Amino acid sequence: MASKSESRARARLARAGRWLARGVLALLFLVGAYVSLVPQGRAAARATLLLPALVTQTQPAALVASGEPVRHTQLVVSSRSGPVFLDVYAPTAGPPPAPGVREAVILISGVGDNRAVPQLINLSESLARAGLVAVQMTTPALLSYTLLPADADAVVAAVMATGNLPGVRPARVGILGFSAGGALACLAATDPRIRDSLAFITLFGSYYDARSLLKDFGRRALEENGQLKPWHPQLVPIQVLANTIATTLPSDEGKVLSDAFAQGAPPLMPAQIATLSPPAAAAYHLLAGDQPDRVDANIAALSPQMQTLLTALSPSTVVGELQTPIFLLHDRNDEFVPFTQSRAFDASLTALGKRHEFAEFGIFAHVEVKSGLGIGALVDDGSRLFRIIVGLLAPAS
Amino acid sequence: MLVLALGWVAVGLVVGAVALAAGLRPPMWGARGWLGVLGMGIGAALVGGTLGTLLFGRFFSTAVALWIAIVAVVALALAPRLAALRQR
Repeated sequence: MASKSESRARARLARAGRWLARGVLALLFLVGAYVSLVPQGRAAARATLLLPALVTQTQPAALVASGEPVRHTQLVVSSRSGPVFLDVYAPTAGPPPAPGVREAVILISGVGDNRAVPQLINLSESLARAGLVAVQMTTPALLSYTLLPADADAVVAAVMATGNLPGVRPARVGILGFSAGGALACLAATDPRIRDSLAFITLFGSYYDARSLLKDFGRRALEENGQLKPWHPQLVPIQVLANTIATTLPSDEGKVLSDAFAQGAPPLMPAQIATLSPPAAAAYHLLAGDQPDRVDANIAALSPQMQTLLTALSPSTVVGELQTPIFLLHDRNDEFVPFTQSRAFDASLTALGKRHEFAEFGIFAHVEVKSGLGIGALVDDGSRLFRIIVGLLAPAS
Repeated sequence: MLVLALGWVAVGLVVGAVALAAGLRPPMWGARGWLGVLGMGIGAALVGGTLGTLLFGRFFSTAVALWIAIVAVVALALAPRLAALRQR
């Protein structure tokens, strides 16, 4: 009797096991078909392997094994502002029949020469392994820590050159602008030559309005929900603004302003400041943050050329003309550009009804992933980052 | 490519094993039928992986290998049953 009920129970268990295995097979089938046949599934699969590559700053074994072999080439194209240096990371093979074309992402890594920075190479190679063409771009001005409105033309030239690469179509080219590179991406995105074809622009740790950015530097504080909070910027963005504003000054005065913020340079003495023209002195005080109570007066004292430059360098000037989808990413503790800049950008885009997505993070130090992060922070920010990456990879799929 | 092909073999093996657990083993294959199901899974995964590489690129080949292997082992198990049903 006992053995009969025992064997019945065993049979029931075996039947349940069979149905469980059938369920697993059905699930695996759906996953495999979704990931390979449906464009959103393909974007999600790419994002699944790219996310760990971004967070750990190494390429996961699965990405290396299943990814495309990558070729790195260097190109120089010309623009109105001078040469544009392109580092192209592309799969060695042509695009597969489905979808028959490759997405390309132009990476503007901000100021300085970042072309040999391991994190940027890792990102470029990972994108290429996932089947995209990654193009790092820079210009002589960016290499010398200077931001010029004319470099927007360099970005346009890079976009057009990338659209002509084998396997790439102009409508599948997007821009990922880091830090100061984000502003150039915005300015370029309104250019009639690429305005209607650009797939997306993504701004990571970028500013929205150069004048309000300068105010934040001058006050050494950022304005969050109507309240001023202390904020102490790193030296690099101060140097960039000094170099940039110096281009509007006579060369000797411009050199004084630039040199005042060089690494290890002492603050200017009152006698040295007294030799500067009123606009140069106002710019100095704003950048040095030594007159936080006179920020508005110092902004007003900037020369018309400086005011024009700040306007020309501000995405806020062209926000109404932006037509491409925009992704905004910013770390809440950014010490290079206040995260409130992206909040202001988000508010403007929302008010204008423009297609965009905004995500704030806590796992980055400006645009690089911090080390020693807890699992909670990684899961929380990772899910937000995943959603953004899927959006960026949609044109590739 | 070798690593990728080994991955497809692994996928085929897993699919074959799950198919056996699901009772998807053609009855007429006898005592060694389990080996046939595993072999079918591996073979179909290799074909699927190659097809996936040609159509969707290397990156998606393993996903294609997965669902083609599943289609193959399920079709293998269901074909005799469907044939018997049609004969009735």
